Amino acid sequence: MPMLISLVLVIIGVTTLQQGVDKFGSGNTQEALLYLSVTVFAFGFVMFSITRARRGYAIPFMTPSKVMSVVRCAQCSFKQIKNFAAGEYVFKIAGTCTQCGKPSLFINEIYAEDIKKR
Amino acid sequence: MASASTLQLLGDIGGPIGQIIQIAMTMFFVLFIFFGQKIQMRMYLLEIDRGLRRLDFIRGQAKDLSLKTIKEIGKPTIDPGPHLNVLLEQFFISPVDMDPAGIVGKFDHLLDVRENKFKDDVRKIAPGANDPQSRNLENLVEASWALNTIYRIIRHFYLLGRKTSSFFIIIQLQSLLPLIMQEAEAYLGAARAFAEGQPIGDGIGPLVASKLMKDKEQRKVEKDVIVAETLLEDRRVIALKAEGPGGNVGKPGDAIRSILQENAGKVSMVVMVDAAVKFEGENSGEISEGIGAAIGGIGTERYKIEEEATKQKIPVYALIVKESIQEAITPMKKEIMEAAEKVIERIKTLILERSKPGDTVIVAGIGNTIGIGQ
Repeated sequence: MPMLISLVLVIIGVTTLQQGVDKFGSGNTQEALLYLSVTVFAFGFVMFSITRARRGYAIPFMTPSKVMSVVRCAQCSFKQIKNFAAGEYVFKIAGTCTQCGKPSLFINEIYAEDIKKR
Repeated sequence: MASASTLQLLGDIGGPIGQIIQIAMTMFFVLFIFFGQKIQMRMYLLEIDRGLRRLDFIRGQAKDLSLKTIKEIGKPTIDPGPHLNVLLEQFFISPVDMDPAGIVGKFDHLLDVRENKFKDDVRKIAPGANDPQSRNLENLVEASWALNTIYRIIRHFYLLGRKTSSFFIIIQLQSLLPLIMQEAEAYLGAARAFAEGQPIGDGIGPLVASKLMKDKEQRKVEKDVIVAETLLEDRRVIALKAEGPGGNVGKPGDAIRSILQENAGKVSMVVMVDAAVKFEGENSGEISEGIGAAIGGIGTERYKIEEEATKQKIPVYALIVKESIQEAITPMKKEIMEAAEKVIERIKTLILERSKPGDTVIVAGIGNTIGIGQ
């Protein structure tokens, strides 16, 4: 229904615009203004409908994100950022450090990063 | 520019097409005067219908995810589908409040019953899950339940509005729809986080507490709450949080009350750290300081803390980390996670200003500890 009304109004708008411009060309300012005011109304209504419909669609969906795990060594400066894997949690023991060889790796941080930012 | 023949066909404003246009416009105005509201209502209904379809899709996704995770982790021996459907339709009847005396105890009891039943039901359909996994599954099913409930409520008002042609029911629904959709999207994000066991924004309180209690001797107090002692600026700090890494909020009210009773007369202050909903325009991860028990929920836990603190005349301070409602239940954003260290600095400043060396201070990390160990 709103689409049909908008379509009719677009046709009316285009027609009256043609008429208005024509009348303006032939020096009939009064009639030209009458036509052009109908044009403004018709296009205005269509624009209003379009922005309303767009607002309806513009429900802010969540930005996709990627979850990262930061593995650190408690004994040395080793740090690794990797994709989160199921079963990981903050302060989980994560095995032996490849840098110092001690079993002191742990997951220090888990955070989500927006994919757009990367 | 129109061609000469077109202009001829259209004629001037008094010509045949001009007259048709005038009649159409007049009819349009008359129709709009009498049926304007009906047209507007139809437009709103279309918008709500679109939202409702999306809500149905979201709740379907959450339910599918729940079923998939239950089958993967829980290794059920029976078909979990019908049991899950029963769980998704569960409801809670609040205690009568005509005579409010003792209502907190009643609420607490009913919430315990509800939680225990939910836990048992989830364990029944996922017998293969270990304790943290089982807790994550509980959270996942709760997120699906929330989405199912949102969908049912919106559908109810949509159909009611359509049936009664009530402009005011429809207009209220249409105005609230963007917020409801945002919440539904967030619940879907939460369901994904719960299925994977990822820390969520609400876990900032437990994260702070776990940083304080790391490598310290820990013990379990009240229901699902872990406590450890540490030294901070020459003060004895008793840090507590819900037991992780499974999705769990514990009963911090009971825990704080029992610690205060154990250390009667020794505790000089309680500091509570929690996530709080920010206002639009504020930055996520900002920290604010306040007075009072920073804990959400229905109010039973807050009541216990306030009651015991008042009895012992102990000041309760709150440190909150601002985040949106969506961020609170979806995987923890980097800026929120980075706030944990800043919160610890603020705790240090607070206890330096408000207590003396040798004092005992309770630091409670409030929130869901999913994905956060200790």
